[in-house]
Amino acid sequence: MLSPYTIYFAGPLFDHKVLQGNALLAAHIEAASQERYRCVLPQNLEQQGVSSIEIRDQNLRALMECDLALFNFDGTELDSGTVAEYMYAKTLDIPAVILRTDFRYGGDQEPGGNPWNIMVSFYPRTEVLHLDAMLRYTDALSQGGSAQEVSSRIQWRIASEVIELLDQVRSREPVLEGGAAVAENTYRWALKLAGGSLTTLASHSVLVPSIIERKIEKGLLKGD
Amino acid sequence: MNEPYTIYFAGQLFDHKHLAGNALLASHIDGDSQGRYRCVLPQDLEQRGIGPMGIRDQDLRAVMECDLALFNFDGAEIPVGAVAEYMYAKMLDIPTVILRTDFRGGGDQDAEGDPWNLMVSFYPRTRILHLDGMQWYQEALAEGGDAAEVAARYQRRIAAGVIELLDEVRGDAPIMEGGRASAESTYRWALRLAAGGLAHLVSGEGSLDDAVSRIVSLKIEKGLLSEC
Repeated sequence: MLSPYTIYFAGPLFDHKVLQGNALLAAHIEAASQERYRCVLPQNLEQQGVSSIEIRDQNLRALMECDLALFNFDGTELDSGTVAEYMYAKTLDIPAVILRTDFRYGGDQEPGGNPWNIMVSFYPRTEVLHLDAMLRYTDALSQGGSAQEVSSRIQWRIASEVIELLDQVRSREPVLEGGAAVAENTYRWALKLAGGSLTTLASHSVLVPSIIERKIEKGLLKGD
Repeated sequence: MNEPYTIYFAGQLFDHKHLAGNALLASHIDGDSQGRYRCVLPQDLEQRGIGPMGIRDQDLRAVMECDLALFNFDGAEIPVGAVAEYMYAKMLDIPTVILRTDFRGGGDQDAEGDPWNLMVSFYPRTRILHLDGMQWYQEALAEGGDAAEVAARYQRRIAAGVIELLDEVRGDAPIMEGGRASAESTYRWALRLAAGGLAHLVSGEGSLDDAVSRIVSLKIEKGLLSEC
Protein backbone atom coordinates (compact mmCIF):
# COMPACT_ATOMS: atom_id res chain seq x y z
CA MET A 1 0.00 0.00 0.00
CA LEU A 2 1.21 3.51 -0.81
CA SER A 3 2.17 5.68 2.10
CA PRO A 4 -0.69 8.02 3.02
CA TYR A 5 -0.87 11.57 1.74
CA THR A 6 0.07 13.90 4.55
CA ILE A 7 -2.24 16.83 5.22
CA TYR A 8 -1.03 19.93 7.02
CA PHE A 9 -3.99 20.79 9.25
CA ALA A 10 -3.95 24.58 9.66
CA GLY A 11 -6.29 26.67 11.75
CA PRO A 12 -6.79 28.46 15.03
CA LEU A 13 -5.59 26.40 18.02
CA PHE A 14 -6.11 28.77 20.90
CA ASP A 15 -8.79 27.29 23.16
CA HIS A 16 -10.18 23.94 24.31
CA LYS A 17 -13.01 23.86 21.78
CA VAL A 18 -10.73 24.46 18.84
CA LEU A 19 -8.00 22.09 20.00
CA GLN A 20 -10.36 19.16 20.45
CA GLY A 21 -12.35 20.09 17.32
CA ASN A 22 -9.15 19.96 15.26
CA ALA A 23 -8.10 16.66 16.80
CA LEU A 24 -11.53 15.05 16.25
CA LEU A 25 -11.90 16.21 12.66
CA ALA A 26 -8.36 15.06 11.85
CA ALA A 27 -9.06 11.63 13.37
CA HIS A 28 -12.26 11.32 11.32
CA ILE A 29 -10.47 12.32 8.11
CA GLU A 30 -7.89 9.61 8.70
CA ALA A 31 -10.45 6.94 9.56
CA ALA A 32 -13.02 7.84 6.91
CA SER A 33 -10.35 7.91 4.21
CA GLN A 34 -9.22 4.44 5.30
CA GLU A 35 -5.87 6.01 6.05
CA ARG A 36 -5.43 7.41 2.56
CA TYR A 37 -4.78 10.66 4.39
CA ARG A 38 -2.77 11.35 7.52
CA CYS A 39 -3.20 14.72 9.21
CA VAL A 40 -0.27 16.63 10.68
CA LEU A 41 -1.58 18.93 13.40
CA PRO A 42 0.64 21.84 14.47
CA GLN A 43 -0.91 21.54 17.95
CA ASN A 44 0.60 18.04 18.21
CA LEU A 45 4.10 19.23 17.40
CA GLU A 46 6.42 20.23 20.21
CA GLN A 47 5.16 23.33 22.06
CA GLN A 48 6.89 23.03 25.45
CA GLY A 49 10.12 24.92 26.00
CA VAL A 50 10.18 25.94 22.38
CA SER A 51 10.47 29.63 21.47
CA SER A 52 8.06 31.45 19.15
CA ILE A 53 10.49 31.40 16.26
CA GLU A 54 11.14 27.70 16.73
CA ILE A 55 7.41 27.00 16.67
CA ARG A 56 7.05 29.06 13.50
CA ASP A 57 9.97 27.28 11.83
CA GLN A 58 8.67 23.89 12.90
CA ASN A 59 5.25 24.68 11.42
CA LEU A 60 6.62 26.05 8.14
CA ARG A 61 8.85 23.02 7.73
CA ALA A 62 5.94 20.67 8.42
CA LEU A 63 3.84 22.54 5.88
CA MET A 64 6.57 22.27 3.27
CA GLU A 65 6.95 18.55 3.86
CA CYS A 66 3.23 17.81 3.67
CA ASP A 67 1.60 16.66 0.45
CA LEU A 68 -1.57 18.69 0.81
CA ALA A 69 -3.02 21.17 3.28
CA LEU A 70 -6.35 21.84 4.92
CA PHE A 71 -7.03 25.41 6.05
CA ASN A 72 -9.74 26.10 8.59
CA PHE A 73 -11.03 29.55 7.67
CA ASP A 74 -13.46 30.19 10.52
CA GLY A 75 -14.17 33.44 12.36
CA THR A 76 -15.55 36.81 11.24
CA GLU A 77 -11.92 37.75 10.69
CA LEU A 78 -9.72 34.82 9.65
CA ASP A 79 -6.83 33.73 11.85
CA SER A 80 -3.75 35.55 10.56
CA GLY A 81 -1.43 32.61 11.25
CA THR A 82 -3.54 30.38 9.05
CA VAL A 83 -3.53 32.98 6.28
CA ALA A 84 0.27 33.27 6.46
CA GLU A 85 0.50 29.47 6.14
CA TYR A 86 -1.96 29.47 3.24
CA MET A 87 0.18 31.98 1.33
CA TYR A 88 3.28 29.93 2.10
CA ALA A 89 1.53 26.79 0.81
CA LYS A 90 0.60 28.53 -2.41
CA THR A 91 4.22 29.64 -2.84
CA LEU A 92 5.09 25.94 -2.67
CA ASP A 93 2.26 24.91 -5.05
CA ILE A 94 0.69 22.71 -2.39
CA PRO A 95 -2.86 21.58 -3.23
CA ALA A 96 -5.17 23.01 -0.61
CA VAL A 97 -8.68 22.66 0.73
CA ILE A 98 -10.24 25.56 2.60
CA LEU A 99 -12.91 24.60 5.12
CA ARG A 100 -15.31 27.18 6.50
CA THR A 101 -18.02 26.02 8.89
CA ASP A 102 -18.76 29.45 10.36
CA PHE A 103 -22.24 30.66 9.42
CA ARG A 104 -21.44 34.32 9.99
CA TYR A 105 -20.62 36.68 7.19
CA GLY A 106 -17.19 38.27 6.96
CA GLY A 107 -14.80 39.81 4.51
CA ASP A 108 -15.20 42.45 1.85
CA GLN A 109 -16.63 40.55 -1.10
CA GLU A 110 -20.02 40.85 -2.73
CA PRO A 111 -22.78 38.33 -1.88
CA GLY A 112 -21.82 34.99 -3.43
CA GLY A 113 -18.13 35.65 -2.91
CA ASN A 114 -15.98 34.08 -0.22
CA PRO A 115 -16.82 35.42 3.26
CA TRP A 116 -13.27 36.61 3.81
CA ASN A 117 -10.84 39.17 2.48
CA ILE A 118 -10.37 39.27 -1.29
CA MET A 119 -6.60 39.10 -0.95
CA VAL A 120 -6.95 35.50 0.24
CA SER A 121 -9.19 34.41 -2.64
CA PHE A 122 -8.80 33.14 -6.22
CA TYR A 123 -5.59 31.14 -5.77
CA PRO A 124 -5.37 28.05 -7.96
CA ARG A 125 -5.17 24.41 -6.89
CA THR A 126 -7.52 25.23 -4.02
CA GLU A 127 -10.99 23.87 -3.26
CA VAL A 128 -13.40 25.53 -0.84
CA LEU A 129 -15.87 23.67 1.39
CA HIS A 130 -18.26 26.18 2.91
CA LEU A 131 -20.98 24.81 5.12
CA ASP A 132 -23.23 25.99 7.93
CA ALA A 133 -22.01 24.35 11.12
CA MET A 134 -25.15 25.24 13.06
CA LEU A 135 -27.38 23.50 10.53
CA ARG A 136 -25.16 20.44 10.59
CA TYR A 137 -25.19 20.44 14.36
CA THR A 138 -28.98 20.64 14.65
CA ASP A 139 -29.34 17.88 12.04
CA ALA A 140 -26.95 15.68 13.98
CA LEU A 141 -28.66 16.55 17.26
CA SER A 142 -32.10 15.62 15.96
CA GLN A 143 -30.92 12.07 15.37
CA GLY A 144 -30.42 11.68 19.11
CA GLY A 145 -27.69 10.13 21.21
CA SER A 146 -25.06 11.43 23.59
CA ALA A 147 -22.91 14.51 23.00
CA GLN A 148 -20.12 12.22 21.79
CA GLU A 149 -22.40 10.54 19.28
CA VAL A 150 -23.74 13.86 18.00
CA SER A 151 -20.22 15.24 17.72
CA SER A 152 -19.01 12.15 15.94
CA ARG A 153 -21.90 12.34 13.46
CA ILE A 154 -21.04 15.94 12.57
CA GLN A 155 -17.34 15.18 12.23
CA TRP A 156 -17.97 12.14 10.00
CA ARG A 157 -20.06 14.19 7.65
CA ILE A 158 -17.59 17.06 7.45
CA ALA A 159 -14.67 14.66 7.11
CA SER A 160 -16.26 12.83 4.20
CA GLU A 161 -16.79 16.11 2.33
CA VAL A 162 -13.23 17.25 3.08
CA ILE A 163 -11.93 13.91 1.76
CA GLU A 164 -13.90 14.32 -1.44
CA LEU A 165 -12.26 17.71 -2.03
CA LEU A 166 -8.81 16.42 -1.06
CA ASP A 167 -9.26 13.69 -3.66
CA GLN A 168 -10.28 16.30 -6.21
CA VAL A 169 -7.57 18.84 -5.53
CA ARG A 170 -4.70 16.38 -5.51
CA SER A 171 -5.59 15.35 -9.04
CA ARG A 172 -5.17 18.93 -10.25
CA GLU A 173 -2.11 19.57 -12.39
CA PRO A 174 0.73 21.35 -10.63
CA VAL A 175 0.93 25.05 -11.44
CA LEU A 176 4.69 25.11 -10.98
CA GLU A 177 6.47 24.20 -14.21
CA GLY A 178 10.08 23.47 -15.10
CA GLY A 179 10.53 20.11 -13.41
CA ALA A 180 12.51 19.08 -10.38
CA ALA A 181 15.20 21.76 -10.72
CA VAL A 182 12.72 24.64 -10.68
CA ALA A 183 10.76 23.06 -7.83
CA GLU A 184 13.97 22.65 -5.86
CA ASN A 185 14.91 26.31 -6.38
CA THR A 186 11.43 27.43 -5.38
CA TYR A 187 11.48 25.35 -2.19
CA ARG A 188 14.97 26.52 -1.27
CA TRP A 189 13.90 30.13 -1.76
CA ALA A 190 10.82 29.55 0.42
CA LEU A 191 13.11 28.39 3.22
CA LYS A 192 15.49 31.27 2.78
CA LEU A 193 12.86 34.00 2.62
CA ALA A 194 11.48 32.95 5.99
CA GLY A 195 14.77 33.47 7.80
CA GLY A 196 15.29 31.90 11.23
CA SER A 197 16.60 28.34 11.26
CA LEU A 198 15.01 27.73 7.86
CA THR A 199 17.77 29.77 6.21
CA THR A 200 20.26 27.05 7.14
CA LEU A 201 17.96 24.33 5.84
CA ALA A 202 17.82 26.08 2.47
CA SER A 203 21.35 24.97 1.71
CA HIS A 204 20.92 21.48 3.18
CA SER A 205 21.95 19.00 0.51
CA VAL A 206 19.32 16.35 1.19
CA LEU A 207 16.21 17.91 2.72
CA VAL A 208 14.74 19.78 -0.26
CA PRO A 209 15.67 17.21 -2.94
CA SER A 210 14.08 14.44 -0.89
CA ILE A 211 10.85 16.42 -0.41
CA ILE A 212 10.68 17.21 -4.12
CA GLU A 213 11.42 13.62 -5.11
CA ARG A 214 8.64 12.32 -2.88
CA LYS A 215 6.13 14.85 -4.20
CA ILE A 216 7.03 14.03 -7.80
CA GLU A 217 6.58 10.32 -7.08
CA LYS A 218 3.10 11.07 -5.75
CA GLY A 219 2.27 13.20 -8.80
CA LEU A 220 2.04 16.39 -6.75
CA LEU A 221 4.89 18.17 -8.54
CA LYS A 222 6.08 17.78 -12.10
CA GLY A 223 9.21 15.77 -12.84
CA ASP A 224 11.56 16.64 -15.67
CA MET B 1 16.57 64.38 -8.55
CA ASN B 2 16.30 60.61 -8.34
CA GLU B 3 12.96 58.90 -8.77
CA PRO B 4 11.26 58.37 -5.40
CA TYR B 5 11.10 54.91 -3.90
CA THR B 6 7.55 53.66 -4.14
CA ILE B 7 5.97 52.30 -0.96
CA TYR B 8 3.06 49.88 -1.08
CA PHE B 9 0.85 51.09 1.77
CA ALA B 10 -1.00 48.03 3.11
CA GLY B 11 -3.58 47.94 5.87
CA GLN B 12 -7.24 48.20 6.71
CA LEU B 13 -9.34 50.37 4.41
CA PHE B 14 -12.83 49.56 5.54
CA ASP B 15 -14.20 52.68 7.23
CA HIS B 16 -13.82 56.46 7.11
CA LYS B 17 -11.22 56.50 9.90
CA HIS B 18 -8.99 53.95 8.14
CA LEU B 19 -9.34 55.68 4.77
CA ALA B 20 -8.60 59.17 6.08
CA GLY B 21 -5.87 57.95 8.44
CA ASN B 22 -4.09 56.07 5.66
CA ALA B 23 -4.30 59.04 3.30
CA LEU B 24 -2.99 61.47 5.93
CA LEU B 25 -0.09 59.29 7.03
CA ALA B 26 0.87 58.59 3.42
CA SER B 27 0.87 62.30 2.58
CA HIS B 28 3.15 63.01 5.55
CA ILE B 29 5.52 60.24 4.52
CA ASP B 30 5.61 61.64 0.98
CA GLY B 31 6.03 65.23 2.15
CA ASP B 32 8.36 64.78 5.10
CA SER B 33 10.74 62.50 3.19
CA GLN B 34 11.25 65.41 0.78
CA GLY B 35 10.12 63.35 -2.15
CA ARG B 36 12.35 60.39 -1.30
CA TYR B 37 9.29 58.17 -0.87
CA ARG B 38 5.98 58.02 -2.68
CA CYS B 39 3.20 55.94 -1.16
CA VAL B 40 0.91 53.82 -3.32
CA LEU B 41 -2.43 53.37 -1.52
CA PRO B 42 -4.63 50.47 -2.61
CA GLN B 43 -7.65 52.60 -1.65
CA ASP B 44 -6.63 55.10 -4.37
CA LEU B 45 -6.56 52.44 -7.08
CA GLU B 46 -9.67 51.66 -9.10
CA GLN B 47 -12.35 49.98 -6.97
CA ARG B 48 -15.38 50.08 -9.23
CA GLY B 49 -16.43 47.73 -12.00
CA ILE B 50 -13.44 45.40 -11.85
CA GLY B 51 -14.79 42.77 -9.46
CA PRO B 52 -13.09 41.31 -6.39
CA MET B 53 -10.53 39.35 -8.41
CA GLY B 54 -9.68 42.46 -10.41
CA ILE B 55 -9.08 44.37 -7.18
CA ARG B 56 -6.93 41.57 -5.78
CA ASP B 57 -4.88 41.38 -8.98
CA GLN B 58 -4.45 45.14 -9.09
CA ASP B 59 -3.19 45.16 -5.50
CA LEU B 60 -0.80 42.24 -6.02
CA ARG B 61 0.61 43.97 -9.10
CA ALA B 62 1.15 47.12 -7.05
CA VAL B 63 2.92 45.10 -4.31
CA MET B 64 5.21 43.57 -6.93
CA GLU B 65 5.98 46.86 -8.67
CA CYS B 66 6.66 48.82 -5.50
CA ASP B 67 10.19 49.22 -4.16
CA LEU B 68 9.30 48.82 -0.50
CA ALA B 69 6.16 48.19 1.53
CA LEU B 70 4.58 49.48 4.71
CA PHE B 71 2.21 47.16 6.57
CA ASN B 72 -0.21 48.57 9.10
CA PHE B 73 -0.65 45.73 11.58
CA ASP B 74 -3.31 47.25 13.83
CA GLY B 75 -6.23 45.47 15.48
CA ALA B 76 -6.58 42.81 18.15
CA GLU B 77 -6.36 40.42 15.18
CA ILE B 78 -4.28 41.95 12.41
CA PRO B 79 -6.02 42.37 9.03
CA VAL B 80 -5.61 39.23 6.98
CA GLY B 81 -5.57 41.05 3.67
CA ALA B 82 -2.43 42.83 4.82
CA VAL B 83 -1.01 39.50 6.03
CA ALA B 84 -1.54 37.94 2.60
CA GLU B 85 0.17 40.93 1.00
CA TYR B 86 3.00 40.76 3.52
CA MET B 87 3.68 37.12 2.66
CA TYR B 88 3.56 37.98 -1.03
CA ALA B 89 6.03 40.83 -0.47
CA LYS B 90 8.40 38.54 1.42
CA MET B 91 8.27 36.06 -1.43
CA LEU B 92 9.39 38.90 -3.70
CA ASP B 93 12.16 39.94 -1.27
CA ILE B 94 10.64 43.39 -0.84
CA PRO B 95 12.05 45.39 2.10
CA THR B 96 9.24 46.10 4.51
CA VAL B 97 8.31 48.15 7.54
CA ILE B 98 5.55 46.98 9.87
CA LEU B 99 3.75 49.73 11.76
CA ARG B 100 1.66 48.95 14.82
CA THR B 101 0.02 51.84 16.68
CA ASP B 102 -2.57 49.73 18.48
CA PHE B 103 -1.95 49.66 22.22
CA ARG B 104 -3.90 46.47 22.84
CA GLY B 105 -2.28 43.11 23.27
CA GLY B 106 -2.77 40.42 20.68
CA GLY B 107 -1.26 37.30 19.21
CA ASP B 108 0.22 34.21 20.78
CA GLN B 109 3.78 35.24 21.63
CA ASP B 110 5.39 35.84 24.99
CA ALA B 111 5.47 39.27 26.63
CA GLU B 112 8.47 40.52 24.65
CA GLY B 113 7.23 39.13 21.35
CA ASP B 114 5.23 40.84 18.61
CA PRO B 115 1.56 41.36 19.52
CA TRP B 116 0.36 39.24 16.62
CA ASN B 117 0.42 35.64 15.47
CA LEU B 118 3.90 34.11 15.49
CA MET B 119 3.49 32.78 11.95
CA VAL B 120 3.74 36.39 10.75
CA SER B 121 6.94 37.14 12.66
CA PHE B 122 10.69 36.73 12.16
CA TYR B 123 10.85 37.36 8.41
CA PRO B 124 14.07 39.05 7.35
CA ARG B 125 14.46 42.43 5.62
CA THR B 126 11.67 43.75 7.83
CA ARG B 127 11.66 46.51 10.48
CA ILE B 128 8.96 47.08 13.09
CA LEU B 129 7.75 50.38 14.49
CA HIS B 130 5.56 49.59 17.47
CA LEU B 131 4.20 52.59 19.30
CA ASP B 132 1.32 53.37 21.60
CA GLY B 133 -1.18 55.25 19.44
CA MET B 134 -3.09 56.58 22.43
CA GLN B 135 -0.03 57.88 24.23
CA TRP B 136 1.28 59.64 21.13
CA TYR B 137 -2.16 61.12 20.53
CA GLN B 138 -2.32 62.48 24.08
CA GLU B 139 1.13 63.99 23.70
CA ALA B 140 0.12 65.68 20.45
CA LEU B 141 -3.10 66.88 22.10
CA ALA B 142 -1.22 68.40 25.03
CA GLU B 143 0.58 70.78 22.68
CA GLY B 144 -2.76 72.43 21.86
CA GLY B 145 -4.46 73.55 18.65
CA ASP B 146 -7.51 72.33 16.83
CA ALA B 147 -8.18 68.73 15.77
CA ALA B 148 -6.51 69.22 12.38
CA GLU B 149 -3.36 70.61 13.99
CA VAL B 150 -3.25 67.79 16.53
CA ALA B 151 -3.74 65.21 13.79
CA ALA B 152 -0.99 66.76 11.65
CA ARG B 153 1.44 66.79 14.58
CA TYR B 154 0.58 63.22 15.38
CA GLN B 155 0.92 61.99 11.81
CA ARG B 156 4.19 63.87 11.29
CA ARG B 157 5.72 62.14 14.29
CA ILE B 158 4.60 58.70 13.09
CA ALA B 159 5.77 59.48 9.56
CA ALA B 160 9.23 60.44 10.88
CA GLY B 161 9.51 57.07 12.62
CA VAL B 162 8.39 55.23 9.50
CA ILE B 163 10.79 57.16 7.23
CA GLU B 164 13.71 56.35 9.52
CA LEU B 165 12.93 52.63 9.26
CA LEU B 166 12.32 52.79 5.52
CA ASP B 167 15.79 54.37 5.15
CA GLU B 168 17.22 51.61 7.31
CA VAL B 169 15.54 48.62 5.70
CA ARG B 170 16.35 49.62 2.15
CA GLY B 171 20.00 49.48 3.19
CA ASP B 172 19.65 45.76 3.92
CA ALA B 173 21.22 43.54 1.29
CA PRO B 174 18.78 41.47 -0.76
CA ILE B 175 18.23 37.96 0.57
CA MET B 176 17.53 36.48 -2.82
CA GLU B 177 20.65 35.15 -4.47
CA GLY B 178 21.31 34.13 -8.03
CA GLY B 179 21.12 37.58 -9.59
CA ARG B 180 18.75 38.78 -12.27
CA ALA B 181 17.84 35.33 -13.62
CA SER B 182 16.79 34.06 -10.24
CA ALA B 183 14.80 37.23 -9.45
CA GLU B 184 12.98 37.10 -12.78
CA SER B 185 12.15 33.45 -12.30
CA THR B 186 10.80 34.12 -8.78
CA TYR B 187 8.74 37.09 -9.96
CA ARG B 188 7.28 35.07 -12.83
CA TRP B 189 6.34 32.31 -10.40
CA ALA B 190 4.70 34.84 -8.07
CA LEU B 191 2.47 35.88 -10.97
CA ARG B 192 1.60 32.30 -11.89
CA LEU B 193 0.87 31.12 -8.37
CA ALA B 194 -1.72 33.84 -7.87
CA ALA B 195 -3.44 33.02 -11.18
CA GLY B 196 -6.58 35.09 -11.88
CA GLY B 197 -5.81 37.81 -14.39
CA LEU B 198 -2.62 38.92 -12.70
CA ALA B 199 -0.10 37.86 -15.34
CA HIS B 200 -2.15 39.53 -18.06
CA LEU B 201 -2.54 42.67 -15.98
CA VAL B 202 1.22 42.91 -15.58
CA SER B 203 2.13 42.07 -19.17
CA GLY B 204 -0.63 44.11 -20.82
CA GLU B 205 -0.42 43.60 -24.57
CA GLY B 206 3.32 42.85 -24.41
CA SER B 207 5.24 39.79 -23.29
CA LEU B 208 5.24 38.70 -19.69
CA ASP B 209 9.00 38.10 -19.73
CA ASP B 210 9.60 41.70 -20.85
CA ALA B 211 7.27 43.08 -18.19
CA VAL B 212 8.95 41.07 -15.42
CA SER B 213 12.37 42.02 -16.72
CA ARG B 214 11.41 45.71 -16.54
CA ILE B 215 10.22 45.42 -12.95
CA VAL B 216 13.35 43.55 -11.88
CA SER B 217 15.63 45.97 -13.76
CA LEU B 218 14.16 48.97 -11.96
CA LYS B 219 14.75 47.27 -8.61
CA ILE B 220 18.31 46.33 -9.55
CA GLU B 221 19.02 49.93 -10.58
CA LYS B 222 17.84 51.07 -7.16
CA GLY B 223 19.96 48.45 -5.38
CA LEU B 224 16.92 46.56 -4.10
CA LEU B 225 17.74 43.32 -5.95
CA SER B 226 21.14 41.98 -7.02
CA GLU B 227 22.31 41.98 -10.63
CA CYS B 228 24.47 38.88 -10.20
